[in-house]
Amino acid sequence: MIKVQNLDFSYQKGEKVIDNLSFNVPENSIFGFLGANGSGKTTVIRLLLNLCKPNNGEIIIQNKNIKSHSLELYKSIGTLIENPTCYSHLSGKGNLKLLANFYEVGNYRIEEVLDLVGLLYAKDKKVSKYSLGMKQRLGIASSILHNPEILILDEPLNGLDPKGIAEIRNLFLKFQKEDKKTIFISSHQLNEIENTCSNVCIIDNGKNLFTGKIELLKSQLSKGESYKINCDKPKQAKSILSKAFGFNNMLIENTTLIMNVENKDVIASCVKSLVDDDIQIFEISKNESNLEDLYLTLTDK
Amino acid sequence: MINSIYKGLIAENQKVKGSFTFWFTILGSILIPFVFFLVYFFRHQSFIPEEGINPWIEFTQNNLQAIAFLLFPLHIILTIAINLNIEHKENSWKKLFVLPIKRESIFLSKLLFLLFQVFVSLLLFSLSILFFGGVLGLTYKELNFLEYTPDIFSFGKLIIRLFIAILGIFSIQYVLSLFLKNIIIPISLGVFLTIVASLISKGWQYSIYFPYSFPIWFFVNSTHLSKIDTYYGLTISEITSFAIFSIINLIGIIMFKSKKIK
Repeated sequence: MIKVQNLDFSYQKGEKVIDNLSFNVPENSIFGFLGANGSGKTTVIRLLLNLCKPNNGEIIIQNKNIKSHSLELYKSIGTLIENPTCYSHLSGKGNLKLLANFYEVGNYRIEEVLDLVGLLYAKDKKVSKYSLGMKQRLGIASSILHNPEILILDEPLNGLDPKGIAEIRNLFLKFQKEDKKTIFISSHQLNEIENTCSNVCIIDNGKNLFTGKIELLKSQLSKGESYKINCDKPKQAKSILSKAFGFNNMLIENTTLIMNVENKDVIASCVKSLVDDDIQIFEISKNESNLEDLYLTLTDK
Repeated sequence: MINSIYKGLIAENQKVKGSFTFWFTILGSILIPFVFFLVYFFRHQSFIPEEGINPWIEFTQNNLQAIAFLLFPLHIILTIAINLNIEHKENSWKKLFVLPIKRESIFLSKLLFLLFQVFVSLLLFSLSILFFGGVLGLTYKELNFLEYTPDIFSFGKLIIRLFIAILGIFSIQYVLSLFLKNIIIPISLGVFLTIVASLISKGWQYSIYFPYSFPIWFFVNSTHLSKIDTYYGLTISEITSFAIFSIINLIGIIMFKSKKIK
């Protein structure tokens, strides 16, 4: 659906903000675009929308080059770039009316999208009196107003409270599953990306560190398996296992010992060894690495 | 393209409604006629015309002189800056530029809407002169406003000439306000050049080519239009105003097409 190929971009000569970046966003997927502040996420979004021109490379959306077909593609793309853009002297409904004019959508659709994002109750309130979360909801409403096939959203969950995040997350999932939309979300809220997205692209200093499914990232980065052993004497347990099995990469968190093993068969021997030395074991569980761990591992490399 | 401009004009109208710029246009337009009304009202003895003299001529001349020399250029400078500052303040360019319309249409719809706003200002100014003159006539019969009728046709022609004269300033201020995010810069530059114009216009022969002097030349010429050279009915300043308007906006469109979003 979106193909980015060998993209280079710099604001000033000799200072590459985006460096040979390539990735594909599959159709009907929720694609997470991750990176630290200043890593080039918003610049990539501007490039995707033809608001900046790349020095090299090309961007193909729905089999059309954005450079030459931008006006045509804008009809099928909904956007939210950085902070939501709203005219604060107008009401929420007034802001959408302005856009409805260009997309030729009626009053019914305005009310519908306001309802979808949970803002119908405040439709006549001036935006200057909206909270940050309400503005964010209005920004999302404006991006879906013309029922686009693709959504390109920059930090769409900023400013939302936990309930709001859950509501908007469910809305995105509904768009993907029921309305068959393709959603590109740039964010640094890793938990949310993990809960919502199937595919991710991680960039650092404008360079691509990883693109693909989160499961693929997990399998690429995890060496063996990680286990947690909750016991009464974790320090002593660490020293026993270190002597007996030569483990040297164990961590202690409160009463829990975290260790990496080649395969799970080793765990039985470890437990036996600990029990023989009078260590009381309360719980053994597999330590699932989350996206945050993977992201930190990848960006620390 | 025309359809996009039309949509742009409707959007501009929705945007301006209820905003500060809307009230500024209305109140700014009637301010000077209201001030002259107060002056005539409280010092009406000084303005009783001689027998056979049409009081409307002096009343409209006083009003026109007041706005042409300083206030109308300032009104335009502020109207344009305040209007375009709505986009800068909300950083809405990034939203406008991903709408399915060409950037030229955005440029032209904003330009046409502001021109319309300025024209409405002049219309309101003219109507308020007639209104306040009528009220003065009803209040103080000796001022003879009800005995005579204003020469609407000649006054209308003067208003159109004033509109042409400000096109040069308009285009410069439009392009400056469109590209400069800091509202203070186009306003202070405009005010500075307007003051310069009022200082140099009488003593410098080439000021007929200086856009900020055009409204002054409009007023100076309006009193003896039959004695000065005109081409197709337009004075040198008016022709230059048209030329500057066309050139500056052409450059503006080209620059606007490649405007970068930060």
